[in-house]
Amino acid sequence: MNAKILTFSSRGDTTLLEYDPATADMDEVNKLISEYEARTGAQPFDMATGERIEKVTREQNEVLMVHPVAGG
Amino acid sequence: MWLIVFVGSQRLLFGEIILPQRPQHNRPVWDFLDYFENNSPASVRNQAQSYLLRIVALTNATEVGDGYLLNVGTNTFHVRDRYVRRIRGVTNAKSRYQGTCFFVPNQGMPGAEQIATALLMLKNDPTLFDKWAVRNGELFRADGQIFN
Repeated sequence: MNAKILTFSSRGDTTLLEYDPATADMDEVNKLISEYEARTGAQPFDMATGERIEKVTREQNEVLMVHPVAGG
Repeated sequence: MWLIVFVGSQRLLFGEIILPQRPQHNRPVWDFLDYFENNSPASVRNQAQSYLLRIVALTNATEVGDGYLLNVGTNTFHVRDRYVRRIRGVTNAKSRYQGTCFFVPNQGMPGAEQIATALLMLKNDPTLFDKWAVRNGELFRADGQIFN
């Protein structure tokens, strides 16, 4: 089963990345997540636990990039 | 637009990462209809609601009349559409506020997903509440850092 990195969007969700966790280069996956984070401020959460994660591992098969929130 | 570049560049970098794909048909009319069915306001609302229910379960929040109660340590928050109120907890010396509006500047994100975002963030870092209340309009990442 493929793993997914997704984010909430006006379409409900948008899949940013899909990969086979058994064979993917996880350093590359994390590098892309870091680039997305630097650009948008969104940070990864494991959708199995609801916890923020520093790095995505092969064990996570659904990761939600959570965008920054402002008070107002 | 950049998302396309982001995902697309991935294919060039290494083969394991693949583009999210929809089933290929030789019937463009049905694809056209599928597109509108999958992106209709009702479909988006249902999908957003489904994510919210998953996150309510993950954070052990409880649905109340017009929102959700979230317990985090000594704090209890009432989170509803674009507004969160602290109904129990330590008042931060810097913040005398007990309620604050919040927003996710992601254009068009459904209300249910905005609530889900706030629940996830507060569950992981309840001090974000005071930051949202005091630093009006500034964007905070989930780790509590300001994002410019």
